[in-house]
Amino acid sequence: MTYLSYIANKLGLALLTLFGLSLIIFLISHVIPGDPARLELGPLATQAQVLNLRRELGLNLPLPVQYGNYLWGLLHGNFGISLVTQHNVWHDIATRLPATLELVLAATLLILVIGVPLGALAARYQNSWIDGLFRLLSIGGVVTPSFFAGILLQIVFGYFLNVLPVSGEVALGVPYSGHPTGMPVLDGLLRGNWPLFLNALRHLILPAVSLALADLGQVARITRASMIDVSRKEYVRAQRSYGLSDASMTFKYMLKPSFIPSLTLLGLAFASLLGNAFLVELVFSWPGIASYAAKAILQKDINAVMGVVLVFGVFFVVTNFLVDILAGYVNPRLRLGTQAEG
Amino acid sequence: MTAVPTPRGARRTGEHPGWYRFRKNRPALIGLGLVLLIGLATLLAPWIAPYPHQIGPFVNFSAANQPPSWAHLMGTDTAGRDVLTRVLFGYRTSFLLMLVVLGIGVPLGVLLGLAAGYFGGWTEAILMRLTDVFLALPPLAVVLAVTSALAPSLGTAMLALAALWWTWYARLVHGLVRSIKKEDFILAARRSGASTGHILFREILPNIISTIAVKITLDAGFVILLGAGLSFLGLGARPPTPDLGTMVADGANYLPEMWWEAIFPGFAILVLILGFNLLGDGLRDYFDVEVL
Repeated sequence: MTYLSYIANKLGLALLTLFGLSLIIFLISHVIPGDPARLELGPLATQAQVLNLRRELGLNLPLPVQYGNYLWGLLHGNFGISLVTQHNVWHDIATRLPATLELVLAATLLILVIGVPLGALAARYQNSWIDGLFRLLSIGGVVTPSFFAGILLQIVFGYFLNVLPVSGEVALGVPYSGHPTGMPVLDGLLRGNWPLFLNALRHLILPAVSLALADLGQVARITRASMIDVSRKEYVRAQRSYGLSDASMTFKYMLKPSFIPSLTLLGLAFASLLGNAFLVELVFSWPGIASYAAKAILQKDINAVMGVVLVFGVFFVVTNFLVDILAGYVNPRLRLGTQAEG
Repeated sequence: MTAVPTPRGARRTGEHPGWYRFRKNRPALIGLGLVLLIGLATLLAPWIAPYPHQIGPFVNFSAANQPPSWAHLMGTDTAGRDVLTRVLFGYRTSFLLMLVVLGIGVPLGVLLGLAAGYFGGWTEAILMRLTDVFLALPPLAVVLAVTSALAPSLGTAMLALAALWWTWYARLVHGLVRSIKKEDFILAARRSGASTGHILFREILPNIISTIAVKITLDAGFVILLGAGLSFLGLGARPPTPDLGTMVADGANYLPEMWWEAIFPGFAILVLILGFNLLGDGLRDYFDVEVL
């Protein structure tokens, strides 16, 4: 199987998944809650009004046609109107998405920059006190619910040591226009606005760490395990007998093959990162998508909730697709694997 | 004692050799201890909780927000209820959620995985594509969708999680069955005229059950974690049902002064998940199986 057909295969699966996702969301939002027209107009509306709205919304059409219309709307960025804000749901989401993305990207960066080297270090000093400490930290990260980690960090660094802010994205006194990316840390950096950058970075630290902890522990553990596996391989022993230095061995020849499991795991982790971002955002009053969704759920704003769910799903599918492509590039054997998996 | 057959090789020490091997794995033993201890405390909650009448809609404002003391080891909450009592009963909600989600998800996933792996062909193609699609759904997002379409409650949350959870088992069992079905003993069973049901449930299943058991143990902690997250969001058990996630969420409003109202329930969740994780890791080493 060539790399190209491997990509085509994965792309087909991704498209199929997106189709399935849209179908599930359509069914949940159009079938479960009963009559959306009645829901929107409230109990006082007359039967004629309800029938009118049903015709307007296309609810009197057969379900497959409705699904087609729904899909067509999605492709044009039409997620429906939020019952609460009265805006297009896509507009609402787009204004809040950067904050959530900033948080998730920062957590991903932490996982890669800290988790992988930490695992490599623990493997290098296997069964020493470093390894022991590492195990304690990684299992601690895995078993602590992210929202509880956030609360603990708030207590220690926010209230007790009083060194980091515990809520919001940027302090109120720091002017921020939300351009060009909507991520204050990045915008501060891009525009050379150092007060903004530093302030936003300080706000980002605690939420990003609470979000990263669980997957950081997981990635570090996987990296450690596969590093140890690789270190027992013959080629590693051969290279060692040639007199290659420790550092060159560890980073050049052992880390790359050990990286693939971590990479795949990171793809899986993205779902939990997005999910946990919800919880962490609430703990730190982060102005992201979670506060929007939480409000939408309470107010039964079904269009808004489904929009958020859809955006989450698309992110997840796209990330997994990219991870598959990358993993297939790093490890050509995977390209064969898909056929056998069938 | 004479009636109980002891496995060979164990008589000399009077100990089961498997137990001996498990016992040497100290983290796993700690995990087992934690799970048993918490499980027992949860079962006995009505008898060992210091104030069992204070779990639900109980209010005593004169005793509200008291820091930990000998009378209230974990302090009291804003309604004056004993936090320790509510933690013990909160564990019941966690265990209930875990048992229902896995109780529905595991059998369903195992059955579908068995069918997909054994029959192959179109059955496999359709079932595994379906599994892939479900696996590609972010769990929390689906639960959000379902709970908002229905109504947020413990039952809805459990249903939504169970509707997703079978996928992991379908994938795991599918892979296991594929690798095992070409073995000689399966062929022998088929040649000697064993029924498909017999082969699936008497030949294949016993050979993969340890892997499934390890996965269940590791998952138990994860389901509890996710359930706590849902109730933290207000999508799980409704007040006044005692629930650890809800308690953390409520307590978080009174930080840092009344730290005990959030910290103790939080650590309670953490310790239970830790127990299941250590035990699961230990069982994985013990059975020497690979679980995704």
